[in-house]
Amino acid sequence: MTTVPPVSGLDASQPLALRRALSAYVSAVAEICPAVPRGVLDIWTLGPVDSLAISELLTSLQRPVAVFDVGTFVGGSAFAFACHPAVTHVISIDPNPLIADEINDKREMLQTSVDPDDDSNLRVQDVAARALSRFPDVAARIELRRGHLGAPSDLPSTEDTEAVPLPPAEGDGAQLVVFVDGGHSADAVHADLRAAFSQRPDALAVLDDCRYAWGPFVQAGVARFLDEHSGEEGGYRFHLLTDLVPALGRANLGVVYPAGDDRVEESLQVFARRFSGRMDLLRLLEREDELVHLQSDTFGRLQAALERAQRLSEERDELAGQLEQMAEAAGLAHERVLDLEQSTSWRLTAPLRRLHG
Amino acid sequence: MSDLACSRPSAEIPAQDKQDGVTIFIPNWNHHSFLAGSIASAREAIWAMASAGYPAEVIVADDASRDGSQRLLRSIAAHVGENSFGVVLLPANLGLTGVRNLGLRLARYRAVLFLDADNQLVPAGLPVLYRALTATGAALAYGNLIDMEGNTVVGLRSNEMAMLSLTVDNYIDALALVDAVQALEIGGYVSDRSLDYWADWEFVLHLIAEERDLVFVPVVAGRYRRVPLSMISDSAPRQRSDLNRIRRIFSQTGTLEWDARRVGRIYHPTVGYLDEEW
Repeated sequence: MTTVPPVSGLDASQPLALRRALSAYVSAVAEICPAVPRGVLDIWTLGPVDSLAISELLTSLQRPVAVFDVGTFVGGSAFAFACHPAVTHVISIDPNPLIADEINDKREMLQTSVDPDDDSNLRVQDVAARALSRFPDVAARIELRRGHLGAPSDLPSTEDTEAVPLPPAEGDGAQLVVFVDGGHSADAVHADLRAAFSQRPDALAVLDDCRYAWGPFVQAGVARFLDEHSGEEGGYRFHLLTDLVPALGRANLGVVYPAGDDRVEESLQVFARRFSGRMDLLRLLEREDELVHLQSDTFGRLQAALERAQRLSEERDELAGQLEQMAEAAGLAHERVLDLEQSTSWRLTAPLRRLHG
Repeated sequence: MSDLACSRPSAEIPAQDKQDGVTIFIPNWNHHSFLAGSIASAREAIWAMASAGYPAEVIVADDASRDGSQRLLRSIAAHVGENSFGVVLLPANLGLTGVRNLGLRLARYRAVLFLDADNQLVPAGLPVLYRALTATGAALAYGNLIDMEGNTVVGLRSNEMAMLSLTVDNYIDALALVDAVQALEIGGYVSDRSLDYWADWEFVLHLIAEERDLVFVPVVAGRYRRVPLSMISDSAPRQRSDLNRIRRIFSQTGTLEWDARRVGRIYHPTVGYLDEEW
């Protein structure tokens, strides 16, 4: 008897598994830090499309990945990266403000605030550490460090943070992914990119919030960075993931990498191929147009063929008529020949015909 | 990397942690052409559930299709981008019953509706089936199906007659609402892949043998697509040869328990039981 192999735990690179795991993680954070509304936690954690995009991007790199996560907040993105089987290690940095300072700084945008005197007003990385302790297998791959990459924070509880260096290249072929999700001003994004690529020119920067509310600011920082290096050989490239893959219509992420980095280019092509081109509206319209033309062309050829068939049919009928007439004439001639051969005069004159050979 | 994957958080939800609500589970194997229709109907059904005040989700599990389904599903997941919609892309083929059992384990909600990828749900029917399942405590609730050929309705498949003949032949399509807790208690669908063709019936017979309740709900639950090359239509000779194996499991004496007998009840949530207790 054949038995079904057990599927004890789905690979966390599976979209559903990663989403479920992230949801469980955010629930843990919500329990640890009830002062923060669940809605804020959900908004500031990778959404379903972005977590799918990150998971597929990591898979497409097709090599081990080390992650430098800029902006821990409560650890959602670090957790998501660490869940992926390709990721060997995550260093997650944050100036580590108090939760209330972080949230209240954006109270107008979030339309909510946190009471600074609430017992659960911890520092963000303390919340992350507590939540991660509930997922020891994942936490084992995450290192939380206080500090910044290129842009210090100006939040009240983040004085004296120091720049955290990127890990050096190990020579093991691993890809360093720098997840840029710290300060979202153009200055902060620019500073983080500059710090990242000055230390590790081989890095792949993945940027959060490249679209929607923060999009103009983040993209302004990226543009300044690209401008700054435009005179150099190759320079850097920026893509919104949704430009690479129209099927990722709602993805909020972008990537920056050195122009001419063939490994990254190839990985991005693999990434794009993992999604269906059939979801691209422009492609669908083009395909529809193509099918309409094909149908018109086929219809035209069918019409021409039908007309030719009609002509041939008429020609055949005419020839058949002629054939019938000729057959009739031949029949009459044959009868006349027979009559002649049967006639008395024909038989009487037979010896004469033999004499004349 | 596969060894690391085993230690990552699982997406499976243990029976005791399943919440009230419905998981629509769509197993797919090479039904690329039909996926959009089945998923759209499932999403409409979860909106119908939400309107009725019940939570629901859709999970599509692709069983290592070879027809491009996985790329399409990644793209659909990216477009939908809701927590109530998830996809599972299996790297190796588990077979229909294996995938359905996976669905029972993955389901966030206790009631699981199995929707074959080439069929479609009638959204308004789902809340009614769900209310019937929860009110009766049945292990399985099923309704009527509209038979389709292409986009043309070719018949109504009333399952009411199945009440009297379930033990004689296979009258219930897999498009039914199953209590995942009870299903897992009895071991889910048969794990013998050679019985895939009879899996729906075997599951129902197993529920009957385990004295679980079945309830027929007089409501249109879905649209059943007659596909020329479907597994059922493609396998008639094999079905006949496997029939004896099913009988050996459930009717070894060939008499009493195999005789036609009435199983299940008829129930509609706004009316109550529609048949006499027996």
